[in-house]
Amino acid sequence: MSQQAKLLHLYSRAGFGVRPNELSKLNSTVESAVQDLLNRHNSSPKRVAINDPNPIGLSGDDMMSSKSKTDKQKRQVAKKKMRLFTFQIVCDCIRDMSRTSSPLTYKMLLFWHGHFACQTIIPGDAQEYLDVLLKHGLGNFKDLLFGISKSRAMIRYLNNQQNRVNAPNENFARELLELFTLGEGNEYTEKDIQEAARAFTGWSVGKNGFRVTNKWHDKRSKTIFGKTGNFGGEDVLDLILEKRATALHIVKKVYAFFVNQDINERHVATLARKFYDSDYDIQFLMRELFTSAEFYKPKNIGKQIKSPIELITNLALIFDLKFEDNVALAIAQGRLGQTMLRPPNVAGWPGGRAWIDNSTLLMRLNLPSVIFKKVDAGFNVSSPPEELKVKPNSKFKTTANLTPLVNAFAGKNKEQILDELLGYLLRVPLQMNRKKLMASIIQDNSADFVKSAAIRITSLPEFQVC
Amino acid sequence: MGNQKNKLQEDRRRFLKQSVLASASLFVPQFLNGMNFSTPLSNYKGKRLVVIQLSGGNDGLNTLIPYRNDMYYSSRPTVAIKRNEALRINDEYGLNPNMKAFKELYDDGLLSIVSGVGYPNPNRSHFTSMDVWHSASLRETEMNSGWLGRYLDSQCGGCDHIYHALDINDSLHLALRGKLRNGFAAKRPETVRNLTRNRFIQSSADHHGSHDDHHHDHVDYLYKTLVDTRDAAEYLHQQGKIYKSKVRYPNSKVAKDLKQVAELINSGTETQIYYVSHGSFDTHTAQKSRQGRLLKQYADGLRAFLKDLKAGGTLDDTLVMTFSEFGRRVKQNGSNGTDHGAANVLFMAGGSLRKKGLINTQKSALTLENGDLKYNLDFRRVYADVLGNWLQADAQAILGERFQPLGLV
Repeated sequence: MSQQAKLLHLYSRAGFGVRPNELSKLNSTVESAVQDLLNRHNSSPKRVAINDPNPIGLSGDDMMSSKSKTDKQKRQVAKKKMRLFTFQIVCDCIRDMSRTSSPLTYKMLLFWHGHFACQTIIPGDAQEYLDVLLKHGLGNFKDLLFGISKSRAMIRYLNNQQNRVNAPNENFARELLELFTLGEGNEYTEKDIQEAARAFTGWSVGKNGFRVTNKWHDKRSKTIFGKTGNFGGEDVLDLILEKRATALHIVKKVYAFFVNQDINERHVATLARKFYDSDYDIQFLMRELFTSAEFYKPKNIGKQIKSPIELITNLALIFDLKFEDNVALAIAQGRLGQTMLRPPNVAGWPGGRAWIDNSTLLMRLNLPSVIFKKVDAGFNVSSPPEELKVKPNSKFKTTANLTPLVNAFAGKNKEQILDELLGYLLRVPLQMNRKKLMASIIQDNSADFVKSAAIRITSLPEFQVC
Repeated sequence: MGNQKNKLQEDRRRFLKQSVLASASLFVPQFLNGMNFSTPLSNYKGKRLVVIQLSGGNDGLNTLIPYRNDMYYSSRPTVAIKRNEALRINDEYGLNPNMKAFKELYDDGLLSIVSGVGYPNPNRSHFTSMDVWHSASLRETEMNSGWLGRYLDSQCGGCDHIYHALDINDSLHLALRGKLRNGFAAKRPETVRNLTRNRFIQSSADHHGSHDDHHHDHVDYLYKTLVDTRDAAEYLHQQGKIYKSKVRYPNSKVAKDLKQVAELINSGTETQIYYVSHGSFDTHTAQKSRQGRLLKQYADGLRAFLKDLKAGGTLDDTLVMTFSEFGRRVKQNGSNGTDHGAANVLFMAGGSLRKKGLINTQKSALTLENGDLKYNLDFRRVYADVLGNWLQADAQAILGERFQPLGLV
């Protein structure tokens, strides 16, 4: 495997692919490329950059109105405004993914969003949640776990607001153990869930965010994992982190997302041991993973079906796309089946082949043509978000800048261009007959060949995997 | 009638010869082929299921009205259906006045109306409760596949075709997603067909050569799905031309969808499961007019649909199940509407019902839990009936638990 192919594999997994003008620079060692990715993270801002902090004029009054028990209409108007604003945050976040100088930061965000799956329509909650993922996603897992457990979005989503001494609600405690840390059925009992839930009583959302409401907290002693004490929520998180099963579960999820859903148990066990011994240092884990020989083995290349957001962002890098309004991003997310802050449930997106059915596949294969206005989107956005219901035949409002792409292949003949484009854009061998592919690339003049060929190749099923 | 059948078969033969065989099989390697060309397609004779989803939470209490019940009237000063307006079907219950067509079907013995359907610890979120119904599971983490999708998984052989289950929708509902197989989503097969006619997609589907590299099974899967999609859209498009309905359908979206389904069924299309959705019923405000309009569209559409099936001789082999993700609060809210509730009514329609009429209705007062109707019949008992007794499948394996079939079919 060539060094360039190795690095293209790395950047497709640790990021969203590479820009055309970065192609000629792909000659470093894997170790220095990984170090560079981590350096970029450490020097990048870790906040969602919202273009217009309040594009629709959401006021404090609206927040109040949204809770109004008496004025239904006022409440609905306010909620609609909030949903729109939250969707703006989501779209800005996706724009950041394609513009960032630190792609790994955003890849981690996408991973952790699926892991700590959460839905919210409240703009402040959304921003806080995403910021926690950006800030700690490549830091220490303990900080990340504490940050998410205390985030307004998660507390509300898993009903910890209703978890009180006289009426415990086990939703958060259950998902914490089952999905977020130990993994289903690993080293905990139903009783542990009940006792953990009692420890989290009183964890709630106040005016300024997270707070522990003392009068709702169960102050009696609890027994969790065989240990007894007057535990609070933080104690439970510490007890969970003491267990090696937590590191194993997290590494399994990381492996399935970044390497292969078909996991190598032995490699995972080794990584999990090191991760635990590093005191849950996520940077350390990712460095170990991305510099391991296993990561570059042929059986792990081209084994992921790009998620919708990975696909959109990948295309944005290749064609230097700008999403002018949110409609294109609404169609893409809604029709392809991955809307941020709207995972299907608390288990996140199942990924892999679950992304594919006849309608999402056709949408995926048509996406480059839709972007270049060759065909209509041809669909309604049937699910989220309701405010952005897009009329049939809505056009994507995106602009492409093809100069970097064209320049990267200047002065070459068609055969060379096709070869190099295939190497650049596909992580698997071309399955379609090469001659037929060449014949299906129709261009008005030779200067257009790069563009036409790139659109054609990105419309192939082979482009859907990385 | 006989003449028409002959005509159908002839059309069918011609279609097969001309379009499918010519366009697809010559170019597509056998291992990728969505259709089995070695045996000619035969007119589909098995049982069919049509699911109608009333999205948004249809208010069951204003659909099947307990017109003698005082609590019903005291809880709903402006939203209740007046005693003398309910279309009486016995001395306790009547139907919404907009459902005259439904009443006719009821009188003709083509309906069963099942009350008190729901599940324990009801969820009042549209999304979650719909997921419960679609997945037939109460555990959120198990809501990644649908009950009909798992039926497709379980039925090898016959379910090879991607169009075995057709969702009349732009995107595929969870109910039709299996772990191995999926249903086919197409609001109009023509639209999907047009999308497959994008030059690029055509050439990918046509020119995909056989490949000895089997490491890239995802890519094979994508090509297979693409070829299946192209063939299915073409097949359904052609099937849609074979039988043209002579029944007059009302002018509503749900009626149009049902007409499309009837034409496919009467053409002998090898699609066993159809999925239609109608709504939105989320009547938090001004319930009476909105729900009335939607119920009328549903009832009128269903009557035309069943009439059409009868004309095509397919009524006895077709079962129609209608459900909604939850019922609504007994007590009306402050804006002449009702909020999200729990237990609900469910309808079965068709020519082969073993039990007809009102099922599981309570003579006594309404049973409440937190202000909502309390369920006393798990919806999965209905699924067990449909899966086991109608579709002849292993209901227990598909539902992951044994439920006593309700015995309607």
